[in-house]
Amino acid sequence: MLKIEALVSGYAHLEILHSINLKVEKGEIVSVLGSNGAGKSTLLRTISGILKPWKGTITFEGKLLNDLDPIQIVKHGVVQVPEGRHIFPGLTVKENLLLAGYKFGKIELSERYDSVYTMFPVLKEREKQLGGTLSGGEQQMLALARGLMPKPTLLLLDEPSLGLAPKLVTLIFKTLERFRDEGLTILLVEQNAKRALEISNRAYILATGYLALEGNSSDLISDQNVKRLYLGR
Amino acid sequence: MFDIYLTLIARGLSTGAIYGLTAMGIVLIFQTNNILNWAQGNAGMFITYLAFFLLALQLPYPLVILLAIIAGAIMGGLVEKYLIRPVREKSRIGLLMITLGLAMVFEGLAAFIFRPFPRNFEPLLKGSIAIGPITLGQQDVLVIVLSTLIFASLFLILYRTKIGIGARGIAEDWYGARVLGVPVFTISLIIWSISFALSGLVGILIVPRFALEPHFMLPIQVKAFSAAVLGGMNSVLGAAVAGLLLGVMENIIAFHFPYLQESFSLVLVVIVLLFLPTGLFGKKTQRRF
Repeated sequence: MLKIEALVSGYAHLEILHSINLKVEKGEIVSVLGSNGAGKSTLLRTISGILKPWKGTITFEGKLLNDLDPIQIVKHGVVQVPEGRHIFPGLTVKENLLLAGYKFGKIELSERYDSVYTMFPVLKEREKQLGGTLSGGEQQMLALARGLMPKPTLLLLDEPSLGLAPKLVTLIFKTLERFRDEGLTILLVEQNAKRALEISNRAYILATGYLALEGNSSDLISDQNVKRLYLGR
Repeated sequence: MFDIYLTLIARGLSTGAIYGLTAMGIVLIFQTNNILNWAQGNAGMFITYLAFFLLALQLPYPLVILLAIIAGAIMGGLVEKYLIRPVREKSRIGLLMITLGLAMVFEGLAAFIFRPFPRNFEPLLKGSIAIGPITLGQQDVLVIVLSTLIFASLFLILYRTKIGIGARGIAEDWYGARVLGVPVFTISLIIWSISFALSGLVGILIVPRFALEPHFMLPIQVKAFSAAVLGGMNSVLGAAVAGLLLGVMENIIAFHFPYLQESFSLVLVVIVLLFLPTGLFGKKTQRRF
């Protein structure tokens, strides 16, 4: 579904990703793990078109994404939930959702609201509340809901569990599994390696912009090196 | 005696509406682009020159106003697309210089093309009307009515349309909006168009009070900036109310102390900011993590 070959990318003159190969098949949850500064967010930003690839190719369902802008990439069904949520604090919950569904017309929009509210009933209750007044957990729900608004086929998630209490982290990961059960494909960037490996099919481990390791999550979770370096045991 | 004050207040509202309209343009651009637009006033001056020559061609006045608004919209769009967009994600200080430079360029071009001597510019409506004890120029009434309509439509755009809600989203989080696939550049272009269209309209409405010359908008620009800051720099409503307030207070001050009129607005800004650092309507954004 998503195929990344020999991707090089970075900011201005700073090369962050050095020749990355990665693929995501339909219906999978694929994790990208690694410590701070490994290039995880850079990878997602490049897929989303916020950063332009320097070299290499990003293809999604056979189409080359390299030269598309973020708007077109969202239209193709690749949607990112960015790190730190980026909720609009002064916009209502519904307005936050509206902007995520910007590409739709009126009729389709109201369908999307219904579908997202079915997934997250709490947001329906808070529809008219300002985004900035939601609790951290609710904000993350809103961020995920915004990810669903444009009807994605591939969801890119950047650290969805960041800064949340353990109980909420569990809730978020449960939600991701629900997404998968409903047919969504997910590329998940996480620092919480253990939880990510538990729910994903496969995983890639990035270290300073290089691909250090890849494999089935079930294999990686018992790998001695992975345990030592990323699982803290 | 009291009647004089009513008239002063009414005239002040008209002046204040002009400040408010200009301040709204400044705030719209500041919020969505994080740029102080120094050229807001002079863009209007330049468009007013165009209007002057269109009027000289015997085109009907209302049509000329409409054409000026359209010219402003096109000008704003071009400025965004060719001057602001290429620099915006690269240099913040560069953007500040661009709008300042633009203000100078408009002034220089106007003096060069149209000659710098003052010209008389007739208002659309010449007479005055008496409403009870208040005597007010018809043009002043027109200004108040038009600005009320414009304010209402801006409010509708910002709160009821996708573009407007998008603009508010961009104002809060440019990156967040971009990641979601909101067409941030298109919306930014529309905001510049609206702002410059407003400046063109303001120029034509206010120029009959002065004379048409390359820097007649300078005092308006300064007062509008004061109003924008007084209003908290973050809301169209704040800009409008602060503009009206400034216009009224200034008019009363000018009646008693004519020489203080020009410096008054800046003094008021300093005093208000001493006590309310975020302006009259500025609110700290509420955020919970």
